[in-house]
Amino acid sequence: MQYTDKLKDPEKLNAFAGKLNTLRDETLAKLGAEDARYIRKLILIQRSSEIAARILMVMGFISPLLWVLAVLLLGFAKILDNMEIGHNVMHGQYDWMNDPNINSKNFEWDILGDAGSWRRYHNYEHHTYTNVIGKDRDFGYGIFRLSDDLAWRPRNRWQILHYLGLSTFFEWGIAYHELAAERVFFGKPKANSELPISKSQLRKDFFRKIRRQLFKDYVFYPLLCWPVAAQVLLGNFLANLIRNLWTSTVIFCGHFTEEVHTFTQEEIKNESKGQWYYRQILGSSNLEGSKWFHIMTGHLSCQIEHHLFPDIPARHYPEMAKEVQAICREYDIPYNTGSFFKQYKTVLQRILKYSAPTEAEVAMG
Amino acid sequence: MSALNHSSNAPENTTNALRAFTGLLARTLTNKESFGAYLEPFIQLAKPDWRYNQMSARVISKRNENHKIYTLTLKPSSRWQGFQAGQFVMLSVEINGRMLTRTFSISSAPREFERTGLIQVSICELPNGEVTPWLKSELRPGDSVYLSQAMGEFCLHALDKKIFIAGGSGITPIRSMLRQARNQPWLKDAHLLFYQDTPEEAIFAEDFAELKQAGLTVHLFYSKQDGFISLEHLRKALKLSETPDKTFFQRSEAYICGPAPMIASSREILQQAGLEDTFIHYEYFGRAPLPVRTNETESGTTKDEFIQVDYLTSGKQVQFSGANSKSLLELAEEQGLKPVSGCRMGICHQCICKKKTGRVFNTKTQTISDSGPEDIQLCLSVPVGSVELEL
Repeated sequence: MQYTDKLKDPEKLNAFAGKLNTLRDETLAKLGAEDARYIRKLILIQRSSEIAARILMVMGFISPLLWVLAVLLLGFAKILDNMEIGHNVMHGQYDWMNDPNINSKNFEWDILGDAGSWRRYHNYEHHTYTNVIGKDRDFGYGIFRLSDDLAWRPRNRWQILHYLGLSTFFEWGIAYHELAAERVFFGKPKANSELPISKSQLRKDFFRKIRRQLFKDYVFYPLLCWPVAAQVLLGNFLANLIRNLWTSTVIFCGHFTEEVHTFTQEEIKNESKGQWYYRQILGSSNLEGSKWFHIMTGHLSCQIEHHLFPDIPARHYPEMAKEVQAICREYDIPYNTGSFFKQYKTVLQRILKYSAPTEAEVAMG
Repeated sequence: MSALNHSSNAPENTTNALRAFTGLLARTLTNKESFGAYLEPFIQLAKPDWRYNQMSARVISKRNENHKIYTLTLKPSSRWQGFQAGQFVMLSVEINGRMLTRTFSISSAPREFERTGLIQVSICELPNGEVTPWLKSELRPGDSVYLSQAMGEFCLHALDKKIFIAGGSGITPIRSMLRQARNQPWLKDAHLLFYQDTPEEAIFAEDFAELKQAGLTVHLFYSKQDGFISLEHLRKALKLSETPDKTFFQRSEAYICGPAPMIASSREILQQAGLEDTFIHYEYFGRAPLPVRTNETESGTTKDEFIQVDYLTSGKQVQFSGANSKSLLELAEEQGLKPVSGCRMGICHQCICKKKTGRVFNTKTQTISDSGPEDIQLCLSVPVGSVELEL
């Protein structure tokens, strides 16, 4: 296993894993009423924002400023719902509360993608096989060439445009992700499919969620506010767009920054817990920022900690990050962090860099 | 209910259709199962204890019966539909951010509830429990708890000669039955055998004094001095002859509640005395124990604790030796069940499943779970006792 070159000694590797396990246990022991209050407060803020936005959206005829405010507020509500609430609840971070509303099994979010489908591929495929080429389709989404692991193809030349397209319609990408893997509509069906539900069920869930979301934002609310239907429809579209651009940007910063590593399926055979932890750190990158910046990213700004401890309530990540960084320093493991703009710049550079063929490929013609 | 009654079908269909429509609208507009679930945080601003899926009950008072057993007097919400003597409720409280649920028998009588709107539950504190010590030390009059509707089949039947046998806090459902029957003629023919540890720890003494006056024959036993239930106790109490006495037990029924070993020996003794098992009704506190099987080994016989996993949705069950350390996920798969699963290492939360009862060991956090209903990760959970899963 090349990526653990620095930690070859199994004893050292075990000690490293032990330190992270201890950090996990210490944090788990702290969970309690404070976490329950926190997530309930955020849900209250999210729902107040959503309701206020739906009302303000109609007030646009009084002043266009109110309409702008409504669009921003609805975008904000959707971002909170998807990131700090939905993403984290669906990781099971709050399952210990035994609250049927704040529970990974029941939670459904305000986005086109069906929650059940997302949980299947994201929690399992992406979090278990993070950045393993051929296993984790979140690395490049089958659209982008982001490392030399994939051979260059002519269409990669335009991948910066594909990137802009995906960002704009990001929620469609999330909705379609699992169906693309199972080749439900196009291509040869996946040979070794492990889909725990039937394909017809998958298709049904996919269309049902899309139908509901489109009905809500583009039929129900516009019709409800009939004389100003157009401004409501446009406002809802823009709010969804804001959410799409923001979530896509944050997520690209988590795994596609310059220094993020990729792994081969060969490398991860018989991986130990220590090696798994190690790979999660190399495969993720963090963003630095204020408390509300972390909340708006759903604490995906602490992508490294999220990948090490995906089911610990995310509000603990910034505190854990200090410890994780110290442990990484001790074992000489690179810890990839930086400001939002610095990290995002390297994402764009990475997309551009791999849109060109490697020198060897150029030489081969 | 009224599915057979054609005349009442139309309004019921309309209500159901309306409910289905509201549910669909809530799902579409809020992505939550009901508008109540979506609006819960706002309603909680005014009523902090409000939950869209729970009925609350107010704590009126708390009284210690002895150093272990205490009684809570509760006022259930108006949606609570009442109960029959002998039934139990699930009581939930939020402790440090976590909703925990336990089952308790109601110890007061239904007619008292009809008069005052109050019920009592009498609870035995378990030394290492998560809920019973908390209820005793933290709960104050005026606080809220959550209650389920009453459930359970341990209720009075029609036969007129009744024998009650109770051990410790197992008296609670029987107390409810007897208080309910205070003016019933059958009370004069009824016997109660009540086993407690010592006279100092005796509970509900005034109740028994009153019931004695009403005609009940009460036999109090203290196991520290009298020992556990025996055929001799029963014969003396009921004035039975040495041979099985079928005529005495004609039109008789027995009701037993208490710890599992007590129930087992009471049943045996009653049958020896001449009462058929079909007329013996009993209620375990906690789940029913499994028969302890004995395995022959080379070194002689060893006792092997057997664990049972019940899969409630599929109706399957599996029993195995307690030494087995397979995860609940592997066990379910061996039974041919296909629970949704993913990473099998506790990361992805795909295999989350509702555990109704029982304790499991979490191999990731190295902790033993709560015994009440909660969601667990099947791949990480090894049963440490019998478990009921909604699978």
